[in-house]
Amino acid sequence: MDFNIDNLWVLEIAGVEIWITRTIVNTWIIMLLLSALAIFVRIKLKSFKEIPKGFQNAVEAVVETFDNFVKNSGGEKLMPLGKWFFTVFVFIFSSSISGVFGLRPPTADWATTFALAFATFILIHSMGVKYRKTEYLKGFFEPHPIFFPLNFIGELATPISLSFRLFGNVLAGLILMTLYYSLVPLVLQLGIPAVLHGYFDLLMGAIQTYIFGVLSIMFIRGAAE
Amino acid sequence: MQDPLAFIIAIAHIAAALASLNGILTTLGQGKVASTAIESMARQPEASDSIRSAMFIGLAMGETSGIYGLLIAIIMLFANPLVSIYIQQMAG
Amino acid sequence: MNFEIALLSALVPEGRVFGLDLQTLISIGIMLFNVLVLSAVLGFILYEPVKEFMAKRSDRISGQLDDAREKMAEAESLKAEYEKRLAEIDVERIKILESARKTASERSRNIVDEARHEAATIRRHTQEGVIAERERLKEETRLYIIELSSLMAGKFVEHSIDAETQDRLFDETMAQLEEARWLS
Repeated sequence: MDFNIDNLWVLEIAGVEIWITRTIVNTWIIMLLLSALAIFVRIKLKSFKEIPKGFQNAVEAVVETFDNFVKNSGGEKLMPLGKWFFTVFVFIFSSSISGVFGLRPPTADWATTFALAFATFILIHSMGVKYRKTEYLKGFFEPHPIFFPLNFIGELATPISLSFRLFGNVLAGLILMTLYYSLVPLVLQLGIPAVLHGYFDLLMGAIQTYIFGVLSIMFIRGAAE
Repeated sequence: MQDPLAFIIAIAHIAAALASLNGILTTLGQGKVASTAIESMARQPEASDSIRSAMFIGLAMGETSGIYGLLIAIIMLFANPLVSIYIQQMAG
Repeated sequence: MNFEIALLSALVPEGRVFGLDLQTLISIGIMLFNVLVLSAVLGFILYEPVKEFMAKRSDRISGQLDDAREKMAEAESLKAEYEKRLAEIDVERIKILESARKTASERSRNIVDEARHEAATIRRHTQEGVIAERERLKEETRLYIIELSSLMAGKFVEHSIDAETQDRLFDETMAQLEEARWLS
């Protein structure tokens, strides 16, 4: 029974210890696989035909669906951020999937989810300032300047709730899976975990990916419009 | 009270269990969201797509308090500040 | 877990699930960097080229559609023009027929007129000829009668009358002939 984030390495740079955790290593593995997939698609793209078929069809369906999704829920202003949202979706979902293959999902570490939520936080305010300028900053002092601390804390709560929602869900799934593996006899560890993995990793992973992405897009859109 | 550390750990586990109890109300709220969404979908099947996405967002929002409870439980169990304070005091 | 990591495990701190300290902050920084790198890789290698490819294709297809629409419009206008021309031809045909009919009828009328005229001329000529012939015949007859009567008169005079009577008779006869000639 071990669902800790192990430290695999300790680096020391300028007197500061840096722990290379299981999360970071797993992220690198996922990044490598995704990059390989991306390069594979890039090479295949040269032989893509006018009429999509098989693999090309799948790639195009994914990209087009995602493009439409960003356009519908984010509006035209968020289209340049499509790359980022695409990455967020793909990364969160593939890290959920990595639980099926025995890796510890990187999203079961608050550092990962907060990194993603922090990026959303930065995007919210930079897009707000970019598109609405002083009007956006004035929004912090409404309805009265006294409310500034309240508004400010409310804004800070956004990335925290975003990150903990994803973290809590994935971690809960991980804890339940670990408990199941460590509590039941070996006979029950064959076959049945497939259903549990399907639920906790694939279904919950997909739903949480969707929710994280949609909430990010909605927050950013709310600030930009 | 022979072992204060055991007491602190026991209290922390009870606190974690209590914090997890807010899952009851969260689940109730989420059930309400889902049932209302299904009702509206039955009434207006043509709007089911937008209702579904709105439902997911509502569920996510309602889940926030449950997630906070889970966060408190996790902190109590795995990152309990009280335990480290006690250990420091023992050492010091 | 491989050998190297097992060796190091004595040195590294024990793992944990959640903590709020400097290491978490560093992890956040590293993860942010990782995700940004991943975003760059996925975005510029996978997402953008596929999107570009699809946009190009849809541009091309819409271009082809536009082309087809343009050609369709062109064909439509050509068709309209031909139809118009056909209608014009119909009108023209009717006009030509009309004019042909008119010309034909005119010509026939002319021909008939001419024929009638010619007929009239011929008749007149014939009549004139007949009259002339009659005149000639009358003249001839008259001359013949004169000759005959003078012959008869000569015979008669030889047989019966003297010179005085002869003169009187001659005058009478001449006067009668003269009268007859005038009358005829």
